[in-house]
Parts: sequence; structure tokens; C-alpha cells
Amino acid sequence: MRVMLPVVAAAMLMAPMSAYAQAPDPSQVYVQSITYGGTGCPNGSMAHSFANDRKSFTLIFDSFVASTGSGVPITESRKNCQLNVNLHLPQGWQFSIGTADYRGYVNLPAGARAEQKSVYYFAGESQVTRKGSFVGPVAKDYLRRDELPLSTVVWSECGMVVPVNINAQVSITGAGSNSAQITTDSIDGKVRHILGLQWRTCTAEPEPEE
Amino acid sequence: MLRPQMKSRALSIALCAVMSAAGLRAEPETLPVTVRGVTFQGNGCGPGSAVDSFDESRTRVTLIFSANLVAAGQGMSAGDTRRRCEIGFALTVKPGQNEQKALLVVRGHATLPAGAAAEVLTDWSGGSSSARNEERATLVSKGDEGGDDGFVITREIVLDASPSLTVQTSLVLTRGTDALMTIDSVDLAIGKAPYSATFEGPDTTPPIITADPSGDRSASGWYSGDVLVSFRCEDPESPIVPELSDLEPKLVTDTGSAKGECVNVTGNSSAVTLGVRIDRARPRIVGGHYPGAGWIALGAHVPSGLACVDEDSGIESCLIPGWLDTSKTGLHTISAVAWDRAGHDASATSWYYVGDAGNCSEDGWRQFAEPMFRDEYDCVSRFQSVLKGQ
Repeated sequence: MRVMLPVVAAAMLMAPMSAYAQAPDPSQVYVQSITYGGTGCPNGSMAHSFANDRKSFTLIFDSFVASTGSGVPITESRKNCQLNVNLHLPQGWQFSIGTADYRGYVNLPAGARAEQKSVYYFAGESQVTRKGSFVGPVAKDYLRRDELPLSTVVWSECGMVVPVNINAQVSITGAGSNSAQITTDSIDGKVRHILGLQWRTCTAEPEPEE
Repeated sequence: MLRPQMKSRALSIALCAVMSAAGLRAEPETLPVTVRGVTFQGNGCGPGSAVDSFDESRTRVTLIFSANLVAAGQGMSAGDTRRRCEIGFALTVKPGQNEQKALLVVRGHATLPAGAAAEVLTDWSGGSSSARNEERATLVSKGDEGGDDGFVITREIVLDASPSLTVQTSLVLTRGTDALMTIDSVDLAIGKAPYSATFEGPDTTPPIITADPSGDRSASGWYSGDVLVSFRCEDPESPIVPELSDLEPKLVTDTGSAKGECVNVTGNSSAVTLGVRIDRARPRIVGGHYPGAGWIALGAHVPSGLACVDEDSGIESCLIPGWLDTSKTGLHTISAVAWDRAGHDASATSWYYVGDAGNCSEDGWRQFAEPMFRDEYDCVSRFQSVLKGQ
């Protein structure tokens, strides 16, 4: 499933609502679009919203739930949603920090364990993994935050769109036939510019996305 | 707004990062092989169950699967133990390009209780003959100990001049129940991308900050004037955040200290406090004012009475005669030189007269300060006894 909101079009749409709406800064990293898929986010099960500056977004899930229990197939014990976050990387060198907040609910009987894990990678590059674990008995909302320093170098004078993969997962083990569940209800993503250096100026006319 | 020093610092960090960007020495020429499109086929990637995503250079493709999984156990049928997906990559190959390396990465998850076993098979074909690649990649994941974890299978493949690449993945649960295995994604990365994008690993090492004071420092560690302390921060792993760091040069005008702090993007910080000792004043030479008019008897043993003093850094060296020279009559001078620990020096000269019996007549005996005489007779006697002693 592809969530595409062309930047130019978005800015035009938002203009009447706020004359001071902050458009994406082409000299910094921002989120252009998001593609998603996985057992936890089938087509049409995720809603999204972007900030005007495209530096943050919120994803809301309908069915990102891992569960166990009597009669529940084992395929329900682990769900994933892989996000393909298309980042606009400006020309030059940039150092940014990506932040992802995972909010959800976990309910485990004694002896059961659950995990919320996220794997981050750029295609062709090594991955980094962050995770949080829960041990039953527990029943609570949770919030887990990942912070990832991100270093990019782009030679193309007007920058480039590069997807970063985030494979978010929830899973349950050790519950047997007892009822247990862990959900991811929402993901808030944000990219924060720290340092950057550009040695060329983009002279090309902006092209609307397809 | 970055201060000038901060800008300079940020610039140097950026340049270092650019210089060290792996493999990026110059802007790549036209990319030799790119991906035009992707097709899926198989019961692991049915219509609507997979999406693709390209980078702008179209040298990186990620395929995300929603139903490429096998499972055995409650609610599962025998048909759920095998899934297959054939992926067709349509390539654009630059004329004359015969060989290009690419990485094929399969990522997934396996929940395999003790006794369960599964296989992830990956093979590919391409080239003008369209024959199946002989180097078939087979990876087996066995859960004899039981386990629940992700897996990453990476294969380096060589693309020839063919405009297509076909990759087939198969997931097979060969043994056991209550097992689950998925392929979450397949990535194809062809050659070097025209960019570098990497997550920095966890950095637990704080930056290294050093203080660099201006001006000459004496061997004893004292300065003789104002000191401008500059700070330098280095971190080979993570860039410094100027906004959170305090690397502004500090002017120290009196004995005290200057502190700098450095914070990197992962939040690690280091601080340095440099103690500065300043002595602006010269040393002093005290004493040397002799009693009375300053007459000293010929041959008398009189200490010079001079001393070097410095209340701030202290005396490093003091050159003074211990005794006055009384070997000859007449006007004498005595000189002293002092150096303090900050490198200042000072000198002083005093004078005195040395007299003998010829200076005793009438009231002349009163002039003598060392020794002091009772009367003229005492004075003359003194020198006579000195002569006898000689």
C-alpha cells in the first residue's frame, strides 16, 4: 500500500488553511511518502497524517495485533508492519536523528512474554534492531521510543528520495493456549535535523510527483 | 544561528563525514544497471499481498510481503507449510555492461519450537540463456533448541547483460508443529548507490575535549598575563552538536579556571576544566638599606640583608650575595636579581661605604653602622686589632 501525498500539491491544499503553513525545507531531510505492508497492516488498515513540514508523521493501525488463545491460529502470535519511509535527502552531507514512538497495549498472563521490535535498514545496508520486552502478568498501555542517528551523503544537486525500511513487529511467546495480546496502535515518526553541509545549489525546476 | 567558531566546527565535522563516506569519492557516472519494474507471482505473494518500493536511483528495490508465511499447528492445514514467490525484476542495462554485482537480501522471522525444522530457499536466474543459476542458495533454519527470532539471508549475485533477473523464494516447514516462519521483505541492491545513508551504531564513547590556553606558560605552570583558553572537541564516532556544547573560548584575567563542554549527537558528553594561574607582578628585592649612612668597617662580616620576594607565583631564582664585600675601603655597590615562577624578573642595586681607621677622627667614628663604636678610640682600636690580626 502506498501513501503518497505530493509535497507541492500538499502545500497548495494547505495554503488556504494557514498562510504560514511551514513547507518542507529542501535543504533538510524530510518524509516524502510512506509505503507499507505486512501481516499487521494489510491494505487499508492504516491511517496516516503528515506535519506540514513533512518532518513528522503519525500512523494509526486497525489490526496490528498479535494474540494467542484457545482456537487462535499460530499465525496470530506474530504480526509485522514494514514501513518504507521515503526520505527526501538534500544534496550534501546531513546528520539527522530519526525518532519513532510506538504506542500500544499489552496483556499477558503469567509465564507469557511479548516483544515489540523494530528493524531499521536502508536497502543494501546493514540493519539495526531496537526492541522492548514484556513479561506477564501484565496489562497496560506502553510507549517505546527509538532514536536513531542518521548520516547521509547525496551528490545529486537536488537531493534524492531514498527509502528507509522500518519493520515493526509484535510477538508473543510462552502463552500456550492462554489468551494474550500485544498491539501497536500508533507510530509517531519524526526526523530532526542536526547538522548539514551542502556544496551545490539545486537549480532544477521542482517536478510534481507521479 | 551558529556562532563563527561553531560553524567552523560543524564544517570540519561535515567534511570529515563526507571524506569518510564509504565508497563515495566522486559523483558516480551513469548507473550501469537499474530496475525498471517488478512483478510477483506465487502463493506467497498473491495479488494485493506485496508492495514494492524504489529509491530514486532505481538501484535499490524493497519488496514487502503481507502473506509470505508458513505455519503448522492449530488452525493450519498441510497447505500452509509451503509458500513460494517468484519475483521478476525488469532491468535496464547500460550498453557494454557485462557484469554488475548485486546484493539480494531476504529478511524474515521464525518461531520454531524444539523439534521443528524449516527451510528458506532462494535461487535466481538471469542472463541471455535464462537458465537457472547453478549456484542455488539454500539456507536451513532448524529449531532443535527452539527459538523465536528474525533472520537475514544475504546473497551476492552477479548480473550479466540480461535485462531481467528472476528470484524465487520458497518457505517450507519440514517438521514440527506450532511453528511459524515468514519472509517479510526482499531487497535488491545493485552496485554502489549514488548516495550514502547509514544509521550510526550505538555510541557509548564520550567525545574527547581538550583545552588549549594561549600565551607562554612558564615551566612552573604560571602565566604572566591574560589567557585565552580555546576548546577543541573530537569524536570519531558521532558528530558534535554545537548548540548543546560550550566550546566558546574563555578569557581568563585572574587566577581561576575555564570550563568547556562537548556533547555529541548521541548525548554523550565530556567536560574539561583548565586551571589557570596568573601572576602579573614582578618579584621584589627587599632589604639593602644599611643603618646610618651605611659605613661598614673594613673587614667586617656583614650579611647583605637582601631578599627576593613574590607573593603570587613565588621566587623561582634569586641571585644575591650573601655577604657584603668589605675587603677594600670606599664606595661599594651590591646588586641582586630575582625571577618569579611566571617568568618575571627584577633587579636592584644598593650601595654602602667601607671605611677604616682614617675615617675615625673627630666625629668620623659615628658614621659607622657596622660595627657601631663608642668613641674615636674604640674606632681606631678596632682597625688596629684588625691589622694585628692580619
